[in-house]
Amino acid sequence: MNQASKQKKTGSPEVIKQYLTFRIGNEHYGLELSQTREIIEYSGITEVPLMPNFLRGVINLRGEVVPVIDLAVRLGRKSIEVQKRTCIIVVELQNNEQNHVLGLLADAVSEVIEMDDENIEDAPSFGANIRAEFIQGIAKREDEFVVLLDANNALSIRELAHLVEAQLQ
Amino acid sequence: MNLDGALQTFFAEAEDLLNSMEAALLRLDEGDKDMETINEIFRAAHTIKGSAGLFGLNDIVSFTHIVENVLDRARDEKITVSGDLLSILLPCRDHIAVLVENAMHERANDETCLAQGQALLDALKPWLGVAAAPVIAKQESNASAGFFDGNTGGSSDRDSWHISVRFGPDLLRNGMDPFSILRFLRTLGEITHITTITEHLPEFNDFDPEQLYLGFEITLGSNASQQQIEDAFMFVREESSIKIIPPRSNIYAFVNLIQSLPENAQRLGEILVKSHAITYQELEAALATQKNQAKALGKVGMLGDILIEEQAVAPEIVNAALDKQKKNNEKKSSPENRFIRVDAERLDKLINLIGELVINRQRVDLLASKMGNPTLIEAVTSMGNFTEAIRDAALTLRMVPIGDTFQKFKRVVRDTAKSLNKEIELEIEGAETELDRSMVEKLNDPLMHIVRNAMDHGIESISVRQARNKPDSGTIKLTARHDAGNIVIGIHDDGGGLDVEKIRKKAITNGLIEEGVHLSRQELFQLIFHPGLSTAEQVTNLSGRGVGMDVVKRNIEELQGGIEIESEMGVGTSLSIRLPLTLAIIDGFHVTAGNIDFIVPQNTILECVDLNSLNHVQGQNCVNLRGDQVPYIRLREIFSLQPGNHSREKIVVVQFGEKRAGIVVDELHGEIQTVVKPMGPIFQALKGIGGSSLLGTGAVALILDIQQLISFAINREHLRNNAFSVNIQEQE
Amino acid sequence: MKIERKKSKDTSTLIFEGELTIYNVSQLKDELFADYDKLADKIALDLHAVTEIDTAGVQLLLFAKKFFSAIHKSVFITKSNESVESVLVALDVNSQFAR
Repeated sequence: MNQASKQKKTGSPEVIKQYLTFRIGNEHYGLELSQTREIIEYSGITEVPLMPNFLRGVINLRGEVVPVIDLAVRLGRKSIEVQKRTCIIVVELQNNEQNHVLGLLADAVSEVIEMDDENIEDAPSFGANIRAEFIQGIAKREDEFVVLLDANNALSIRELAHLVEAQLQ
Repeated sequence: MNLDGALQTFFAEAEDLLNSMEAALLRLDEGDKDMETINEIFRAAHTIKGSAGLFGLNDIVSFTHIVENVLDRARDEKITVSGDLLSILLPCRDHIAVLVENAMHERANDETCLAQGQALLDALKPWLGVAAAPVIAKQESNASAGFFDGNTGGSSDRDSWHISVRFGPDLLRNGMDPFSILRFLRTLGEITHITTITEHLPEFNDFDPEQLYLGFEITLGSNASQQQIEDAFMFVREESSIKIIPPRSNIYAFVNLIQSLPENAQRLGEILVKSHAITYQELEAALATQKNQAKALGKVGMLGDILIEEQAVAPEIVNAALDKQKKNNEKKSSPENRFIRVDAERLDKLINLIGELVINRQRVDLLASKMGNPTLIEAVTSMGNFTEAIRDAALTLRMVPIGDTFQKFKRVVRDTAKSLNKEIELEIEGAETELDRSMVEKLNDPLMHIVRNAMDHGIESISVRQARNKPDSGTIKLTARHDAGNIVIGIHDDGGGLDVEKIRKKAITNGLIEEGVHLSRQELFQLIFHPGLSTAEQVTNLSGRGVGMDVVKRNIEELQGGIEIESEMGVGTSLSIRLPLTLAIIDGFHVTAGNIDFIVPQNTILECVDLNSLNHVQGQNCVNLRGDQVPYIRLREIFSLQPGNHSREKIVVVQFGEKRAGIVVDELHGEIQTVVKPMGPIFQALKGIGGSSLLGTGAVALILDIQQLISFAINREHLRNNAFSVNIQEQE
Repeated sequence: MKIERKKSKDTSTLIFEGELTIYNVSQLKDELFADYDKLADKIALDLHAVTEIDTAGVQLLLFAKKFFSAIHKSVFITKSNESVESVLVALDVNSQFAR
């Protein structure tokens, strides 16, 4: 599966949203499909010196230089170790009317799921071990939970830049 | 067929015209008495008014009309443009700029704006003479007014445009009405004659009432440009045949017109005579001769030649006409007409594509040398040369002379000097020096700040200058020149100069430096760029607009540039800004350190040497290079990269400003042309890396910003109190 | 739009009413030239009730003029209004319809 967007859309868009789910360690996460652009294999990442751990480096995405974020570190987990199924999810975020493209490291991409708003619970105020504003909601799938991330908060360009600045001082 | 496009063109054109209007007004202010200068201002106003009318921008039309009237009187030497009038005309020009700006953003002109306009118009009244009824731009009201204004005086008809139109048959069906074109033309001037050509109405059975068979012969008295007149036909141009004869064209033009049109020559001739384009005698003679000649030769001769031979027109008239035509031609090849407007975005796209081409070329290069096929390598090399040539040519497309930017300061200096009660002259040198358009835009603010600063703090008041035996009038000089792939911009003033001691004291008081620390002059001067040094004493409402010299320095550094200061007490101050010509593509040198690819900008490199072949200065990161001590930075250390083998390290000796330093790397790979890709906002705080770039292999390389890298190193060494900064200073 | 015909002695009067534009010139052509041999030698155009005229309308009038002239009938405007007049003047064809 290379193009997540190939999944067909059904249902009415007001209630049902599509999420791309992926795995980091043993935890399952989801991002709104509309915010993701593509999934690429992990290969040839250029390290940028002096960067905090969550910033793994930059890649060449068809001529565009794109920073790659280690989401695990950002979420307070252990850094991702590169394996065979490691991939980069390319997301596109809007910030100050500008589009920012970021790569997210993930252990494996799972599937695209459709979720009814009703089946999504609010982020718990504690217990998830993740900053509450990073979470859009929690979806229950069969017997596992999927943490639906709020990409704009979890990947806020401004905050990432501040963290880089702090690291350099 | 895009009105929006035409409107955009108008805005761009208006901006240019307003700029040249301003420049011309300032020339008058400097004592220029040339009539052509006034003409230039008049033409600018007139053209703006005319074009604005085309687009129904009534506020612009009615305001500019009055300004134009005043200018017209100046042109007729009924009034002189002197100080008083100039100080109204300049704000009038600004007001037009505001109106244009508002129109561009589709903003309505609010009451304040209109009141300002009215105030300016009131101020212009003394220069207006008696009759100057404000025009209300005539809009296409349901064709109530007649099309002839009656007033045909003023210009003789040879002074008019002649327009010959044969419309395409499907125009009406396509929803176009030629009548609306006449309305357009009327906004440009006055239609003094029109003949509707009915010759092509067919026989009864062939007549399709929805098809257009008519044509027009139009005489238009107008000061509009040919382009403006052509624009009136914008929507019908493709399917119709349109011939435009400019004013004062000689009879050839009309004869050629007659010959090129499908209708009967006699009838056409009569139309032209009726519209006073040519006289009956001229026509008669020309047609008769043509007939005879045709009989004799069996073909139609060139009428122009015949006219001279037969003396149908006095030779001097023909010659005069030829002269005029020559002049017209000369005008045509003047700069304005040699340019074509291109959307900057398209240009950027082209340059980006060429950047990709450059990268791909490098990849091909790499593959060819891997394969080792000499013929292939040769072919690839020659392709490489072309790629380079294309790149250079493409980059020059975006190059603009810096003169336009400098020119803007004439106004700033004039206005500011007045408000400061100082006399200041602005001199400009090297206005033709070119640099990338995108750089020019970013250079505006820092330059503005430096110039304001020089006027405010640099140039002394007249009394002080007199006491110092200096001329009353201070001078600020803006210079530009190219220097080894860089542009060097200078801002010099003959003012009071910087007081090194005062700077030192302030820096000590503000805790920037410690007492007793030795700093070179240059380093002390550089302190003025420190945010902590803009003291209240310095801040006035002029230069202290919340922006300090620190912002100036940051702006320049963002452009990969540097700034140096030279100053002498009582004599003056010179700032020189050194910038790369473009930020899009650079020539670089590819190196690696700790498994990361880096690019060193080629224009900073002096030489590359084996580190171990040089003698080290004991206990310091410093080598002896042919007798000179050169401090160095080890990339692996400064960037905390993986440790590697020291034995094969290389040193790249770089120059920045007047200083030299070494960059120690693991491996040298060679020269590379590279497209600069911005790293994005996340990496903003990272010093020493100016951007990124793609290698032939597709890998990302980081471009070093030498200036930043070295100040970064100095800062870190300062903390460790190490040799690097000391050595850098000793070199001066 | 319609054309009403009136005949008196040697003159046929054609009274135009409504729009005279590209949208109805085809229909008007049929109406104008229907049974044209029954028209008198002098054809008077009454345009005072024309609400709108465009180039197609003017062209139809010019065609009528040319066509009838060829069969020795004279065409002239007997009544007009300001908006029609201004268009005819603007194209400088008003004199062709003088009586």
